[in-house]
Amino acid sequence: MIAQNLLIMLVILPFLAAGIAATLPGDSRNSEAWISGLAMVAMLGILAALHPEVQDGGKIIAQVRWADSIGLGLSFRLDGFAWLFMVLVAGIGFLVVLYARYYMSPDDPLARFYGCLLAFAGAMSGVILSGNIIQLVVFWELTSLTSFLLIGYWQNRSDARDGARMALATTAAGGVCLLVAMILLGQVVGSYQLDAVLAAGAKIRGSALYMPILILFLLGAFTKSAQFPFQYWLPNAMAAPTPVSAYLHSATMVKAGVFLLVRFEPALGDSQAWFQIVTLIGMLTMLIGAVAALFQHDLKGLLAYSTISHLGLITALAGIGSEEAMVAAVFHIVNHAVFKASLFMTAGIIDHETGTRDMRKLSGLYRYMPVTATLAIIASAAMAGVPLLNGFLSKEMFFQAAYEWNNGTPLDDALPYLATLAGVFSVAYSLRFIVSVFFGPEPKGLPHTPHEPPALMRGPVAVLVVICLAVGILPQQMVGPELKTAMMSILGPDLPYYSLKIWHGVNAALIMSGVAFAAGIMIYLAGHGRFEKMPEGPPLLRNLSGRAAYDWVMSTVMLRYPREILRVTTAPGLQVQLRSMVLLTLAATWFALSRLEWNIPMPTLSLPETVFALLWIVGAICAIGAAWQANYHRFAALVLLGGAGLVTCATFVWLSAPDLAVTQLLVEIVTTVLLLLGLRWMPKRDPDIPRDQSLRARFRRRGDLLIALICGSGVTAIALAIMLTPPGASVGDWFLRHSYSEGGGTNVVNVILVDFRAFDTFGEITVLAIVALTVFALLRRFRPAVESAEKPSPQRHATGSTLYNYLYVPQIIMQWLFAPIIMLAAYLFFRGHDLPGGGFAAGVTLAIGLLLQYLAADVRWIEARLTVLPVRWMAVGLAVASATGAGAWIFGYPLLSAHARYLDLPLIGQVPFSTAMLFDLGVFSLVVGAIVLMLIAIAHQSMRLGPRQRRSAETEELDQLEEATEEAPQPEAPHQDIPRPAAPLATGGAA
Amino acid sequence: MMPEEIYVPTHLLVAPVLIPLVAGALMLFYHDRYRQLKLGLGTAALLALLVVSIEMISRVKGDGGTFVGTYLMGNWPVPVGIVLVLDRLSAMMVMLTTLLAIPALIYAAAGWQGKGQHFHSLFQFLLAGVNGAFLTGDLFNLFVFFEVMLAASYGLMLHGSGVERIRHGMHYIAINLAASLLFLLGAALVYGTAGTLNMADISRVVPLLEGPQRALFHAAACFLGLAFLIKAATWPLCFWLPGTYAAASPPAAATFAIMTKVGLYVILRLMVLTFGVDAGASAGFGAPVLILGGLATMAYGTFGILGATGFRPRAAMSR
Amino acid sequence: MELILSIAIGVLVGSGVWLILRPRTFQLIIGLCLLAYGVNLFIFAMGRLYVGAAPIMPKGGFVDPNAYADPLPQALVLTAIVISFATTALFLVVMIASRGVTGTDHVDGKERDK
Repeated sequence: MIAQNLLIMLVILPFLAAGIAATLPGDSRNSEAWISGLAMVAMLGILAALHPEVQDGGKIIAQVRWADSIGLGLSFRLDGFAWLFMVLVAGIGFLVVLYARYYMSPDDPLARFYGCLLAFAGAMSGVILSGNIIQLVVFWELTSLTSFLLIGYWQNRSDARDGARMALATTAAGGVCLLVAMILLGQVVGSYQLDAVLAAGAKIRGSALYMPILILFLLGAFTKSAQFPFQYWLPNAMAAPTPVSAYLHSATMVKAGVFLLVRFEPALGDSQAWFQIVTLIGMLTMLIGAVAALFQHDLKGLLAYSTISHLGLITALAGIGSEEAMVAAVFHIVNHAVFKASLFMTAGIIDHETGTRDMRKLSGLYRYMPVTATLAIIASAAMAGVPLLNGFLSKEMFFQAAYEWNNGTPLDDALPYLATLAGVFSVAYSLRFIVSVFFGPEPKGLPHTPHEPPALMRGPVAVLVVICLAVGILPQQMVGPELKTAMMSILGPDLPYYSLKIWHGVNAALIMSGVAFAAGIMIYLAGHGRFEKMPEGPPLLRNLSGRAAYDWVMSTVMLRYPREILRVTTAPGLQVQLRSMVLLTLAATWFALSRLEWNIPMPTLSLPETVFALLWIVGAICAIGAAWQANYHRFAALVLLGGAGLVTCATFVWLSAPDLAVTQLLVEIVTTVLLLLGLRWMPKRDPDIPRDQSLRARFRRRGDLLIALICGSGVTAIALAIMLTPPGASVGDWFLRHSYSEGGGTNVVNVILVDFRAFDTFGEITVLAIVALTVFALLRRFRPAVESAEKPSPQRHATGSTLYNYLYVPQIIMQWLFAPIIMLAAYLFFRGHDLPGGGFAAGVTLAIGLLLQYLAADVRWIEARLTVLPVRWMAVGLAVASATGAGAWIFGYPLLSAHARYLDLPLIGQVPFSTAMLFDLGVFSLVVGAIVLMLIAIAHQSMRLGPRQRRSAETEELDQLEEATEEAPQPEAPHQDIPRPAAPLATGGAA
Repeated sequence: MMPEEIYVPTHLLVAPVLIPLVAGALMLFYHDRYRQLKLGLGTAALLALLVVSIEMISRVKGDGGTFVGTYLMGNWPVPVGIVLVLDRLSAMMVMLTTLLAIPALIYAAAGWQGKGQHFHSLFQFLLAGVNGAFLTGDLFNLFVFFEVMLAASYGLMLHGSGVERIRHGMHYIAINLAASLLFLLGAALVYGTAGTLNMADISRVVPLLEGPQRALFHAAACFLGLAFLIKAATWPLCFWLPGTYAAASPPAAATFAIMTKVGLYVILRLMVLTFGVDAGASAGFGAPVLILGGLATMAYGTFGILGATGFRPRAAMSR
Repeated sequence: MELILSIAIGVLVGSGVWLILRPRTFQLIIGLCLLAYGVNLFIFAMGRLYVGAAPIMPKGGFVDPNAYADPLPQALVLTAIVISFATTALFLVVMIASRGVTGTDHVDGKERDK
């Protein structure tokens, strides 16, 4: 348990320290450095404590369970290889922090620097320690992000911004590829756990998805490790502060790519494709990097290309994939990190003390800084692979692996020659680095007079160089056990024979080394004095600038293609969207039902059913007619729609659903009235816009007809299939049994609505309230269509009092009807619990009654008399419903628990009473309020006609103006409007 | 599959729904011109929500994420009544909603609240709907809360009116109405085949389904899945989103961000519950489609961001 | 009975689908209404069909669940009716508002090819 917790600490610690460092005040550079350094030391301490656990091929797995019910959690895993890599991250991290303390100027925003650096270390730890491959990608992207911040640290410099952007674009694009690869990998393996994936190598290689997975995976790894053709971002990332380059671009981040290659070699490797691609790319990168490094003038540029070359070497080793090659790869990862970090730091010291990194200006610095020079010479000798230094050992192993391993392909035959050629150039550029900077005549025209740096700034370099020497001279004693531990976690307990010795006798590798040294020295001597005069970059490849390619890719891939793709894949039109939705539904349903065996007996028709059939023949005619007429004959379509609704209502009566029938009928009435009121503002369909008769439109209509037919028959089939299978056990039976005994009502549907599933009803009335409010709000800013701004004909042609007498008789009748309607509503409400009815039905009824008054009488007359405040009714309704529900709390029951009993009222007798009825009362109140608010908000629009006519040519500016003026509160609720010229509401059907 | 259930005799679970609902209702008692008062009420409700969600998070923290709290609505037993379910995921989503709502409300106070009627009530109702959708354990109740959420979002989307808002609002409403009908079809079909609406109970029944019942149940899952994918704006069902978000008033658009998550959340929930490893012949149903859809949406969003010219359409694409 | 009802549902849904794919807002709203009828009947049908067996219980005594229609789908339909009514009303208002501000009744707020 302790080990697991320590492991988790290992990831959390850097982020924690990052948080602290980033929030310290700007002038506390020492405390920030202390915190960062301590964090790194603490990580090293944890690693030391965990070492016994991972020895001999052991591993620690820590799970952070977060939500087991859906399988979410974090998983961390430490084995020997990860341990070795973590030591690099934390150890070099510590040295970099120490170095940065002296390198960074106090004027720089250091909180940000240390914060980002630590966050990067945390992300890197996450990559190394993730036990879940998706989680790994998340941390992977986090390293891209934090490195973006670090490269672009000097944000006022354009090269820093460009370099950062380029690095981010390249590595993040690779990260997306990696994510896809990991998802596919997880799908193939059936698990996203790293252990399961690593163990499933044969299954993965046998899968049809192997090639796509491999290519996407390699894209992710190659972009991160700056392999050809993605090597261009690394030299441009040299705009970062040197500590960042030393840390990210030599020791850690770029190594994440090769880490991944080595880590997943057991799962993805061991195939021809892996060997061909990885080795070829690695070799090419190694060669290009080595050649390009020789022709750089910038110190850091040289080191950057050299890094690319060495990463290529490791990649090639991972590609070869033999066990010896894997040992060499891991060993070289460590060695390269050590000597390259020290070289970057040296370059930083030179830059810091002389003010330039240009090798054409630098010369003879040995005189000024002998200690630094000595360290640099040793480190670059390690880079060149001089014996007695660590670089020599892993390079020998590489040569040996390249020479020994054979599979008979042309690439394999070429391997030793390519390796030697790259070795030649690496000797040459190492020589150039040393000779041109430290030897030769006195430097001229340097910005500062060079001198030795502070001892502590040189300290990290010294430590690293000592490691180079120690490993080079006593390899077995220094890194033998650690390397063995790491290899056991990759290759398993049966390690191949390899020996960390300096002298293996005269073998192929030694000869190759010798050739490389001789040829390298010759090349350097041949070019000596001429490199300085050449333009930067290697001959031939000079014009093949990766940067230009990147720029071209950016402008086309990042701007032109997306626009094109977006144009093709976007469908802004509503019809297209709905069509694709319907088609997708059809496809999905077909997919689900394709295996359905239709063994359901076809039903037969009996005599009473013919009546039902006749009913639905009418219903079908109504529905199809509505569909047919809705384009040009709206009123007819509306009537037909009503017809279909009535048939539906009759169906409910027929099939034992009286409650539904009542509700459907009432809602039908209100909907029709609403639509009629709305039609008033929908000017007649402009006959000048003819039906689109083009071939495409016809084709589309045919297609839609087909879609509609398929949808209809599909739904028919599903409904039939369900209805003809006998019902299984369902919760419905429970309601029937317990409605009276526990719900206190005999009308089960109503009891379900107000008691068993009252929460649904609660939500439903909320919907009604929201919609009413929205309708009201929208109509406040309503601007009628220009064509319908005129008064309807009865109003236009009216003279004298004709308008007032227009609907005289209906008006009287409707006023008389008001009282009976109220009675009906009350009746429906009270019988609801036992017989069809209920709060909703009662509410709609009362609303219809109120609406009738509106239709019949003059709007102003009615608004003056009928002081219904609909919003208030709604508020009361919601409040009553909530209060009733919450009342159960007093008795210790959950929300909406009801209590039912029968009350003895004098005269009336036994009356069912349940607290659920109070809830129903809330429903009733809200329904009245909401429906009245909606209907009168629409009906009220006729009052707008007067002033609106003048504004028929409104523009958006006017609208804006109105928006501004409306800030001031206006009393414009419909019921308290300012009187305007009388206009009886003979609206609706007139349209 | 269902971990051990622990009945929590506490009203904490219902608070995230009830608090905004009551706050929204109380606001309706005042005329819309008392905006500052409504703002105060809304802020108070949000603070209460924050307290509740922190308390919920601290309660679910125990037992390494296996804790599941339930609240029996109306005190009716489990498959028949409506039940609210609290676990780590839902607790965190409620928290997220609250944390998102607070800045949105503050932003709205700077002026957007005055651009139309009843902003604050609608905002609270939206929160009630979202929280209800996160907490409910009943399929049809989920539909109801989806509708609460959507209705409020229609209102907020149209808040402030104007040509663009109305034009995109119409698309938004039409598509969501169609999706809601699809949801209803799916929920009904689930009841028709499984005979229950309680999500946990459905997962109990799924392995027992046989023959045509199973195929029909899968069809129901397709309907539901598509309805949720539309709400979650997965390509190619996402074209409503950029226009809608760009046209909606900023505080509304900010809260809409949580609504696409509701779709994803529900997919996640139902997938794990009904088509998890214990689902017998239905295990893993639809998973490849989801992955493909997710990848396609990501690619589409990336192209959209790169190809878009303004900031607001960009922000919309990034969802 | 079952056959007729399922064909009826199919006709309603088919007409509705055809209409929601049309370009005019009024067609869209009529289509949504028809679809809502179809879906409501579909939900209702999920409880299977019963004639003359309304779920209204006697007061007390033994209850045989097989003698009554399944009440739950009916309750669901009630909720669905109310919600679809509300959303239809909202869509109607948006529709006329759109007609007002855009000057066209095309669903995209502009005529094709303009």
